[in-house]
Amino acid sequence: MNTLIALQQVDKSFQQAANDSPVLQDIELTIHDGESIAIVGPSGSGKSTLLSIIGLLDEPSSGTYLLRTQDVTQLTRQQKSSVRNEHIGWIFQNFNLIASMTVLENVVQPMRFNPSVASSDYVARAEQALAQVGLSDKKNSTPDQLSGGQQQRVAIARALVNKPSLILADEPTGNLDQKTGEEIMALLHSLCQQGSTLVVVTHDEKVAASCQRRIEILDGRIVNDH
Amino acid sequence: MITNNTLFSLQVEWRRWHGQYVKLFLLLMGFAISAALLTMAVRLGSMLFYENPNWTNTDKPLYTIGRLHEDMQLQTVSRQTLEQLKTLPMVDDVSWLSFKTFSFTFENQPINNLNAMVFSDNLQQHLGITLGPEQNRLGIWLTDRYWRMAFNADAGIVGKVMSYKRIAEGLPILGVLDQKFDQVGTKPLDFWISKDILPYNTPFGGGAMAEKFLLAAPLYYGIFSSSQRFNISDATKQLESLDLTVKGMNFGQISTPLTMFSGVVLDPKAQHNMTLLWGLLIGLIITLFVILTFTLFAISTSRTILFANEYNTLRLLGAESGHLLSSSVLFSIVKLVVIALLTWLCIYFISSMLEACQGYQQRFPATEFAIEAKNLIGALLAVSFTVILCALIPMTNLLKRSTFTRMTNQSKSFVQKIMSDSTLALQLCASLVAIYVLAFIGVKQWQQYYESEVDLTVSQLEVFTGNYPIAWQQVLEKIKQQDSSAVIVSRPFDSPFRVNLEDERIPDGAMVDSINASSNYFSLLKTKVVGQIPDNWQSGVVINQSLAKRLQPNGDINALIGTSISHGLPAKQHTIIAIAQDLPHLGRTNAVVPAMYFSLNEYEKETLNNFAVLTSEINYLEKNSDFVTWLKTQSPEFKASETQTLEQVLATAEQQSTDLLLAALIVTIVIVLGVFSGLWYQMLSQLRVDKQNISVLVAIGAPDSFVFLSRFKKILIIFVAALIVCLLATVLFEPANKTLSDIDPLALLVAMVSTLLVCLTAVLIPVKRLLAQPIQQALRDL
Repeated sequence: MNTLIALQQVDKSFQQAANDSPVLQDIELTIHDGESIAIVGPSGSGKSTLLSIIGLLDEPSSGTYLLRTQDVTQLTRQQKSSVRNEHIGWIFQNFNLIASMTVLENVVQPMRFNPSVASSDYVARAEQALAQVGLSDKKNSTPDQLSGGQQQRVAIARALVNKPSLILADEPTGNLDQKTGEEIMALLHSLCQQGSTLVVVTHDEKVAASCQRRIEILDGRIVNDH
Repeated sequence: MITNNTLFSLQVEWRRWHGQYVKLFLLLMGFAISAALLTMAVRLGSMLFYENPNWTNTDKPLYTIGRLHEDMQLQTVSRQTLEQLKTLPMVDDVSWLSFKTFSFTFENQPINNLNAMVFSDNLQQHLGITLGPEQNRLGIWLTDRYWRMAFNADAGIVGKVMSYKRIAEGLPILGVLDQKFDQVGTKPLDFWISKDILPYNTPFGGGAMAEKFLLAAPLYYGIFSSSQRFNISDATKQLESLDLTVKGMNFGQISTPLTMFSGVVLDPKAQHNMTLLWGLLIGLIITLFVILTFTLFAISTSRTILFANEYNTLRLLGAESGHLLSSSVLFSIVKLVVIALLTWLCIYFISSMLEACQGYQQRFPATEFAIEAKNLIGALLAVSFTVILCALIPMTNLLKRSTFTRMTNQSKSFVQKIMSDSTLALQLCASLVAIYVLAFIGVKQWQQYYESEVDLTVSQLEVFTGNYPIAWQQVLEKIKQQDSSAVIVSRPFDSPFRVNLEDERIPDGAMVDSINASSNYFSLLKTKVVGQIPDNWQSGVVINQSLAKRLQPNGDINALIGTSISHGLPAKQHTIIAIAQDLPHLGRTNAVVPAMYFSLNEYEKETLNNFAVLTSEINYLEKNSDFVTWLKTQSPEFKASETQTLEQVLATAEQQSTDLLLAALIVTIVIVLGVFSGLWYQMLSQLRVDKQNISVLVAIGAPDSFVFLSRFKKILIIFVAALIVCLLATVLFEPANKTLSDIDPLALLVAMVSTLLVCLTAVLIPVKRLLAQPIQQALRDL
């Protein structure tokens, strides 16, 4: 399998009242194409920060981050936006759908910032993504008309519409009941089987167990990776 | 639309205003009013301070010289002063004009006290005006106004001679002037005449003494031009230092100071009043602009905080700063297009109100207020700059922050807090003043409103017959064949002649409406009359109660019946035969003007070329009625107004009051809604930031009233501060000579209660909405 991500000696600290408070220390992590990975650990252990760094929402204080051999820490803000748009799909616990847009419009959004997608393809590709998550009949609904599970499906459709190589999910089942959570994870794994890499941050042992690989973090360090 | 990024961005921005469209519209309307007022203020300023009046025809900078009395009336100077003025280096050319009254005899009828403007030889060349082909000849140039009023617009009058006691051959009527020459200075003019008339009016008749007299006598308003910039004050001092006396001719010590004005200013009081109005306009513009800018900025900031998650999600999905900023700018451009359209409408509406304003008519008689495109573009650019900046700054601040931070707008410096509180205090001051002014105008109009018993179903038709006047008796007979109660009136009901009545019982004189009507006028209008008006009314005057009260301020006004009033051209004693109830000639919401009603038999002409017909039945005056068809056969130049009932006529007259109230209402709504929206969004964003604390407080048992009062307390303190500032400003600056005792308590109460209600609502609703959420959900959303 090809290496998708390589984090080398990554540290991250936040400044608090003149002192640096370390959040991540000496992270060494390699992720390959098609893997499904669960990052677990207690609250405050640094798992969401790690996900933010992988997803180019945050920068490491030191160390190297290679995405397909490219050092992304050297990219400009604008280049990071572009990489995020084309290669990474994000899924959140609270869905983060845009309330003033319909389901279809929400799914179209990533394509609007992707110059390689022609505007004439927006609707067809968004409908295809919605069909993949089983929500074709809800394309004209607004987020507030959907259940939690349906909203998360829309978020997944939005995450995959640009055909990213990496899907990052931050507690994707945290706001869902058990049955819906299982359905969502099944959906994510099916996407993974189609070639995408999945990285999930979770507290839920069942979710973690459903992934191929489990990374445990404690006090900002990877203590277990199997 | 979804495939077009530009249109889609606009659509989403539009949706983000869902439920707030009225607020958005009023905000845009506020900017439109500001832009319209700014455009008009620049134009008015130019007219007031830089432009020459419309009766002149030159672009060169003109100046006026006279002596300014302490009551702001401009008094005349001697020609010696003007001769010395010519010697000043900065002066290019000097002309003068003078106002005098003359009495003539015309066709054996005396015509007394006509207002004339006497002009110097070079006035026409100096000011670029042309009176007519014989403008250098001594004779009478009738004004259009007087020609229509006294001679029924008879073109045949030109060439006839008016007898003047000091000139044996009399004075020929040389022509009729254009309408723009009707008024120069404070009074409407009856004719213009050249300076050659003056020697005939000196105590010396003519010769060297007369010339010396005319040189020394303070009779003239000087108008001079200068092609260079100079200090008016220094020039005045320079002139005062010169010898302004004429040897052997002394007119006593003159204490009033020489005064120069930039522009042609013959009525400094009107200029002063208009300058005051202009200053108020500028003040209103600045206030509106500052309030709207602060409001828009506060709203933009609050909305950026409210929609921060949406914007951050878009950033996460790959949107770059340019995408978000460009969609903000794009929506601002759409807003600016709407503002531009609304501005155009506002200018149209407010211009007509300005033209109807008394101060404007006094300062710029018969002058249309036309705005210039460059002024409009300048005002719109100023608004555009503000609107775009207010949209960009909060978005830029958001984009500087990390995506998905849980901290929004929490830390504020002391200076920021002071700024924010001061802004709110300023907004509340404006709200208090705006509501007070609106309430004051409303209360005043309500108090002035009087229920007249005039029959509003009576119909009116105004008739113009051009150069073919009709005998009014003949017209009356014709209409009486259909309606025996019909009446002919010299002027339409809503525009009587206004004349100056000089009566010893009214020390300062009074402007009085004068109407000539055929018999039956008051019975047709069903107006109560005390006294007897004969069925065949030939002579005697009927006055209204308002004039009666002026003539007899103390005591029984009915005692005036039988006494007389001196009035007319020529002056004649008219016996008061009756006192009529006040008629609402100017509409029911305007103060009543004293009025005199004469029989049409006393009108100087038996034929009329402009009159009105009043009947009890509108059908008699319709276009195809027998009467109107007959009228058409009587004059080849027949024209008529639309037939209207008095109800419709008065509605038009009352429109000005309604317009004023409406304008005050719109400005007030804009200011109040601006304050409301600003406070509303500020509260929403604060509650969003403090949601965690509030939810925890509620979870541990804090009552709803605690949460509300903790938010409202600060606003209440700022409201009290704003109220004190407004009252202090009234005491310290005495705007328009008002003191605390002049404040209308009812209007003040309305202003206080309304502003407080606005604050209360802007705080209460967002707090109630937050508290309506289940606590668990509120806590979980964090």
